[in-house]
Amino acid sequence: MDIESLIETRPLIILCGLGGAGKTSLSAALGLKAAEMGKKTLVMTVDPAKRLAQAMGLKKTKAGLQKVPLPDISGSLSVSMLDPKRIFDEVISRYAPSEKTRDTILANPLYQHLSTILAGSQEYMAMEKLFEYVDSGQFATLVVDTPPARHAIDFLEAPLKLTHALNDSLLQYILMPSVQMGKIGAKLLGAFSKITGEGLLQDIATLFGSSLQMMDGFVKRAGVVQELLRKPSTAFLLAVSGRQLSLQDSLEFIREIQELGFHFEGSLINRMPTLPPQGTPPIPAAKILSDKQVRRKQAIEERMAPLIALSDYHPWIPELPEAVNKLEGLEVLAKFLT
Amino acid sequence: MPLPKLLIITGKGGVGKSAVAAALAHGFSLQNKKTALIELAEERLKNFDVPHICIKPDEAFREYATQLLGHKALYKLLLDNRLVSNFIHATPGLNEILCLGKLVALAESDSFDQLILDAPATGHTVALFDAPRIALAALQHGLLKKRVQNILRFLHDPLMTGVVLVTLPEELPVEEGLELYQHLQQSLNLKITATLLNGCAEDLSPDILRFLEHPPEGGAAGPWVEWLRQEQTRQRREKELIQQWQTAVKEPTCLLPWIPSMPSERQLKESFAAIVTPWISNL
Repeated sequence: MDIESLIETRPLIILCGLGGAGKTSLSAALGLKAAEMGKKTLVMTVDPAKRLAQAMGLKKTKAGLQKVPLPDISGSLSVSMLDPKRIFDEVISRYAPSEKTRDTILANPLYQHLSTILAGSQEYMAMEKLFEYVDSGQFATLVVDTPPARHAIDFLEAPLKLTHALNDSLLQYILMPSVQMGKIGAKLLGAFSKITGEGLLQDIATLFGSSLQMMDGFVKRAGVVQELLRKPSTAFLLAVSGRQLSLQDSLEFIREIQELGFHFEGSLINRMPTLPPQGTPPIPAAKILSDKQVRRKQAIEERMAPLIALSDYHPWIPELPEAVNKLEGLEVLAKFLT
Repeated sequence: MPLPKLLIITGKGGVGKSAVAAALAHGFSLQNKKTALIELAEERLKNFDVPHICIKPDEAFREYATQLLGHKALYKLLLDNRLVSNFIHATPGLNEILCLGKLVALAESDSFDQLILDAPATGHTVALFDAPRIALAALQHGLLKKRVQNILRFLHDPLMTGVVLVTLPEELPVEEGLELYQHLQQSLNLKITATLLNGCAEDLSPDILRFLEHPPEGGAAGPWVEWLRQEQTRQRREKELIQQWQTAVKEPTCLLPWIPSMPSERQLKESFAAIVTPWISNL
């Protein structure tokens, strides 16, 4: 597989990684490559630092869809910066069955926390947006820059957590009068209140109680997105850094991706040392540094061998001398993706 | 000033937090301090080969409930109950409160002189240490509220808690690190003890610098001049970032070298410990 056939055959590309691998810049470079190939492309990032925008020379403060000005290119490139908190508010507002329900949720002291603290809520919000963009059909290629996650399961866990919280926990006794609490339930609730104090349980009950009516929508969309992610036309790529000490987490991540039924298609190996010029003998002053760089690169290549064995797309991307915060930097990066 | 009893090691994902945390724990152990390296939820630090404790929310809840509920029947009922466990996992902030509660309990016991927390990456660290504040707003009364107040007292006591912020001398990690630096102090009221810049490249040799001052024009040396210039550009950029960091951060900063030979976790811990421990002990 090369980058051209990847982009031709995979309308949805999910770039994962553990942090420090330059995932955001690589997503932008992938998007640029697709645009250069004539695709109408969208790069989605859930990165709160809005760094992708910086790399693309866009205004950092502006949220939502922004088009990257690209001269002489047949495709187009748009960027969407996701602000999980804002999207969460949007989702609540859009799907709340009534204004009253919406206001109850937004005013709950725990709500504010819910959107930031649920592990994987960023991923979940990305999935909500992804659903929207795929549903709209306005882009030929979608590149998703995921937040650094240690586990692939984080993509799917958040909506499930909400349903579990509701259907299979203490809350059912408070929320659903139809569930017979019985002696044990009453004791459980009593014991728990003794520990937490009653205010908390009530607040949580209110929050989840209001969300109950929206749960159907959450679950339904989560189901659609999961199906989409498992399609063979959705490619999962992993970004790793040549400076990364251990591959253990990365290999584990790929295993999880595959176990979940996603299609792992390649690794982008970033931040490689630049090799000294070949073919001309080194000038004396550069000899030591030159030998060192060659050894470094070899050591990294050896370390990456188990990763390389897992796919046939694994471009090596050198550490660029200048920071990638301009379009030109992305163009250089895009060239190395082949 | 003595080091705070709890050192929280945090920073952006992939900057080497765990290696730094393990190095500190290793170094303090060598100084005969009763030290524990603490990780949350998942055991990942085994390879570093230092004494570590993994705080798991379920177990933290178990201990907490046992303390409060002398009643055996109630105790049995709550523990290992799916309904309770799902509730804990799904309730925003409760996991965090339980873990922090256990952490504070460890620190307040006499079992350890020094605790090192390998905290999660930026966003999750903020959520973790913001949980008590939000819980306090949500809780009206009761024992959990007292526990949360105790956690906050501990975290805000500069003799007890300090943060070691780790980052890399690269654009985005510096940018995000500085945002976190502000946020930890201003919004979360945590004290920064020190910062570390990990993976700093070694200087170009004087020979190379002299060569680049008067490089030959073209010829066979041409590609070499270009290559060395690239290396020089990369290094200048790094130096500027280090400068920027040290200007913005008023606490002392330790520079850790990039160890290109990529040793094992155990070796990395030892080479870091040799630099970091004497430095932080002399602050």
